[in-house]
Amino acid sequence: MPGRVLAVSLAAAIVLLAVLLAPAWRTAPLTEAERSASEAPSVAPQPLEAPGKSPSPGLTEEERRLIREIALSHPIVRDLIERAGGYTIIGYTVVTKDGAKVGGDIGFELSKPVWFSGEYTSMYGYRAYDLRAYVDAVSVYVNLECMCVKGIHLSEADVPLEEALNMLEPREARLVENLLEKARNHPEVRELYDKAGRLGGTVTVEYEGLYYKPEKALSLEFRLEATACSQLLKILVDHEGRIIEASKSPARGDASQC
Amino acid sequence: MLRRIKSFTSILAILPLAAILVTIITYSASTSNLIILVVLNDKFYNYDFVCKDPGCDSPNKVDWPINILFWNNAEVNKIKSNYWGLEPCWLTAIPRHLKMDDGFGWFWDSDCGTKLFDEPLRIRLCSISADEVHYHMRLYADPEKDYNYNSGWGKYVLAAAHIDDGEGLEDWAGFSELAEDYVAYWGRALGWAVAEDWANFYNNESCRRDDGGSHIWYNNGYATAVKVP
Repeated sequence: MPGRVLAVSLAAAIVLLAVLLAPAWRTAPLTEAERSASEAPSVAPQPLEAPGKSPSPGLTEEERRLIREIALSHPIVRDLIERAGGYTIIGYTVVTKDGAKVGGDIGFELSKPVWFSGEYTSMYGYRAYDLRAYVDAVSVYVNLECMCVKGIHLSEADVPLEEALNMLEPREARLVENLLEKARNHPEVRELYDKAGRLGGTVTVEYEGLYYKPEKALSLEFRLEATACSQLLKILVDHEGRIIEASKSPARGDASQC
Repeated sequence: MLRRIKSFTSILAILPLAAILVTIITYSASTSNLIILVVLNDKFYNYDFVCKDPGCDSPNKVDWPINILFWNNAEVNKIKSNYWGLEPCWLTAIPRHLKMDDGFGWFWDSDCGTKLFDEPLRIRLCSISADEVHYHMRLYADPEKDYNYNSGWGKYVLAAAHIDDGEGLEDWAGFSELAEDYVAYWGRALGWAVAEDWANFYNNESCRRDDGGSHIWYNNGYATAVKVP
């Protein structure tokens, strides 16, 4: 009888120990013995069901030719390329709807950045844009059902602010200068200028674009260059001078000084 | 040496713009490659999703391919603090969701991710040209523990990394493969072991965009494993 009690007690103790230790065991990192000798996991996942069988549709050479021709006939694209003096084709992206191919995007890199002032329909969400910016590339979405351009995307080139001020109309240039002063009062911008003063560096302002649509906004970049370090701060300010967004890149160089 | 990133987003008076940006970002994409992957007793989908309501685990509600496995001793916040910080859920980083089973049944995790702003990267790929990008990575695991566990991977976290347009307004997002490369580079700089393109996650996507959308698909289907010490 005492032996039976002892056995039951022992079994209960083992169960209790297992319950108590289970969470710890489950949360412990792998032991060396459990790890693979290599630096990759020893076990790879397997698909529960058959992987997708239908590969993404591509664009045929004939479709690429059509997309290229239609894109090049778009007035904005034609004008940009003409003023840039040439282009290189970046590549193509097939466009699908419910999994089926409906057209393709083509990207053109311009031979040099050119000033753009006007409205266009974006290929991303078909939003209306009204933009003043230097442009260094243009992407065009050609729908192969209507054989038409449904939207474009202009890639803004960063230029020194003075360069953009020369291209803007006087009232727009005044607006940008006014917004620049507002942006300079942003704490993060002030901090960047203070840092530049401390490090004996400079802050240059680059212009990305003045938007009237989809929202009234100005995009500026403040670039700190010092011997010790460099840093980029991007500011999006609305036409009333309110900061919409500020993002800062990591400092490059001596971390202790930046 | 890589530095801890201090990123911030300050929003003062932006409701109209916020509405516009969120409209773009929440546009869901579609894939024919959505499947469940199994490892030991665990399961997970090979894409994250734009929603987590019933029926959201659908090929028409996907966001990005799962392309990174952090394993061995991983935890969500440990990874974020070693990568690009804890991104607040706001305009530039809204939550996405992954459905997983850590051996005890299906659950969802949501994350806004970790984001590195304004990094120079020359892209001349598909139909896109860019010279400046934001890297964005969302991390998923059992929200109660901040990690999942199995005996093959130890404490692990799954991640979906992609690039956001870094020029002008944030217009497009994509190129998961390029973001995966950068996550691998960052991991090595931290001194962590990295096995690039380690295992097939069956989410290969060639250059593709959905009509009207801002998603640029580009992923080779093979996920990178980063061993967290």
